[in-house]
Amino acid sequence: MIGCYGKYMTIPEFFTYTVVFLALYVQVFFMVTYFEHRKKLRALKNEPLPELVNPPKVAIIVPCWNEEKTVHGTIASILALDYPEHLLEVIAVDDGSTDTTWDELLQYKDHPRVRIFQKENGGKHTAINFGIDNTDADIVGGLDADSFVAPDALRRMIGMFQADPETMAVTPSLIVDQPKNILQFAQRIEYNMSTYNKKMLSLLGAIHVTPGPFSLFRKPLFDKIGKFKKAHNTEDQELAYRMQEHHQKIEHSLNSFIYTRAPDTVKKLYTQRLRWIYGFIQNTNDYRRLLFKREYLNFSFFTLPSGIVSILAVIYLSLVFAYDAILFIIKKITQYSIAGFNHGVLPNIHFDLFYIDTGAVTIVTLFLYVVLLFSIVMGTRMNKQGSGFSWHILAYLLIYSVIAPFWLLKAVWNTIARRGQPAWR
Amino acid sequence: MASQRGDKNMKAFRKYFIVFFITAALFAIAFFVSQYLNNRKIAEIKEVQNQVTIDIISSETQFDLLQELSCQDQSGDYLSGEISNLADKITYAEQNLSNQTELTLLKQQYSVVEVKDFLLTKRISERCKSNTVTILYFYKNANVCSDCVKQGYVLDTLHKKYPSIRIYSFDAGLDSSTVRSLLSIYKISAQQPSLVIGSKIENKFMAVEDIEKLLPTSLTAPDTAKTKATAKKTTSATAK
Repeated sequence: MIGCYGKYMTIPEFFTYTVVFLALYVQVFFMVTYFEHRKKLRALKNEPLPELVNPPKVAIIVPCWNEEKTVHGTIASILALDYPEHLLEVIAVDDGSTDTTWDELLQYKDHPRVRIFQKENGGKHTAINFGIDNTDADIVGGLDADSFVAPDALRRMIGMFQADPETMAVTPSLIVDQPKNILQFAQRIEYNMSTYNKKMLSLLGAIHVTPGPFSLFRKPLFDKIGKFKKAHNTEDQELAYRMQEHHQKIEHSLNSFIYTRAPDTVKKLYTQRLRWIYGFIQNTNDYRRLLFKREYLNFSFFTLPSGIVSILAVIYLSLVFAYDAILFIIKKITQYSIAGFNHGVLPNIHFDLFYIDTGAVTIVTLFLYVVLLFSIVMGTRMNKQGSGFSWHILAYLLIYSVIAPFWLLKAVWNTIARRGQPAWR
Repeated sequence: MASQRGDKNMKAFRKYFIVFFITAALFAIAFFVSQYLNNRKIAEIKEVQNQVTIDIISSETQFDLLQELSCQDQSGDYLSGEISNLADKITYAEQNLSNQTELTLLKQQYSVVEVKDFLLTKRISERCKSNTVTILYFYKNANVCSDCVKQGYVLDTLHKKYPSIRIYSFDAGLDSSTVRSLLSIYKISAQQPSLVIGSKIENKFMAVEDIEKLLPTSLTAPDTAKTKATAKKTTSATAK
């Protein structure tokens, strides 16, 4: 292979260019989609609350497993929704909690709009399925007990069901609730970017997750394609894959906001992401028959491949970075052993523009960061979290650059070594 | 219905191609910008090289003038400080840029400059009995000479410790008649690293302490080293 100046390109260089090209391609694809639909998206900024004609009956299932501290807030936020009271019920299912969750739920035993159930622990999907089996509502949704709903969210989402009879599921926009530490602020940036990505995927008809917090479904959907499955502890992802396979339409309601508690420690975040990424790999493997098939279009040619590319890109680039870091450390150790600390380790402070890296990979990576910044800023504005520019973006990029490779590598390792699915928490 | 789906597919795939071309265009821009900036860097090296060439002429003139002056009048600062800067930039360019033909030419010129400075230093040292210590260092690419990397660190350390030592590094693998002449004059083996310290020739890796043993005690004594710290570094000794 010939490089840019007639110099031969090495195999690692070729891989780096390929990975960066694919990563940039994914981001440019999102950006082009944004500009393609910019008028529609601009109109959504001031989207009025829809007037509902003959609103359907809605059941919100709250699966609880040791949620004694948060379950009240979750149920309260559902009861406070702007929706006809007689058409909205809460189904709280205690999935064999070992704390006082059931005692907390008993406070609602005489509540006219809340029904409570207790069952043996069987996993989140069994709790939601239990709720589905125990309701005659037209629209069914779940709300994790660590999330809260904005009062107008349900009305907006039902509006989308009523606007298009083919819509079988509607997903909301997720916002990190009351971030307190730098890790949670970084996650808020990530969630904002996810809103942008999800809206773009929705416009492409290629959503691959119907998140646990407040995704709504037409109940007949479950009769048609079945209910939630265990699916490597990522039941919300598997259901979306199944819906795509059966050409069931999933929409995203941009202005329906759900506030969710983000992990507050690296360990909790690691466990959560390991589960998500492992679930993605496993579900994608289970549904590999959908890859590169014309009938599934963007889901098949963009969503799934871009997810795979993202994982491979982060792993590859982090390994390259780790390799360079090891070489640097070896160099410093050698210098130290030869020349001691003062002469060998301390750098010469001498700034000269000449030494700034002007390689093509660096410049393309810069482009990639510009496009990423665009998606973060747009996502933040979509989530109505300000102008979009904040120093938390830097924190997000730094923190995730360091820790994300670990859960990605571990998820891939678990897959290769057939270690089985990671724990819930 | 089938035709509608066909149109939808066609439109979607057209978008895939458009995005491909946009991404490819961004890559092309990156390559173009990178090439432009790297050419600017080569131009900068050439500029420094020109400055150094002027310095050669002026140092030769200075030496001729010196015949007429007393040793107290000479400053010992014969060559431009730019030569050290030039060495660092050539080293960086060799590792990071791809314009190897031009860089080889620059390196050949640089070797000539070093030899000029070395000869001038020797002549002045002899005339004025200043005992300036010179080290000639012959290295090869790190791929074929792993000890050269370590030797480079050793010489960098020595230069930091004793700034008055004049270290001249030469790529033994460079296609340069000047370097070949030096290799032949000092009977340097094919095995690198090789060092010529004063009149002593060593064809092996030498630690800081080993080299220090060969230096005059007037230089290695702590207070003397400080007073002599006036001469400029003539080269980056880091092996390529």
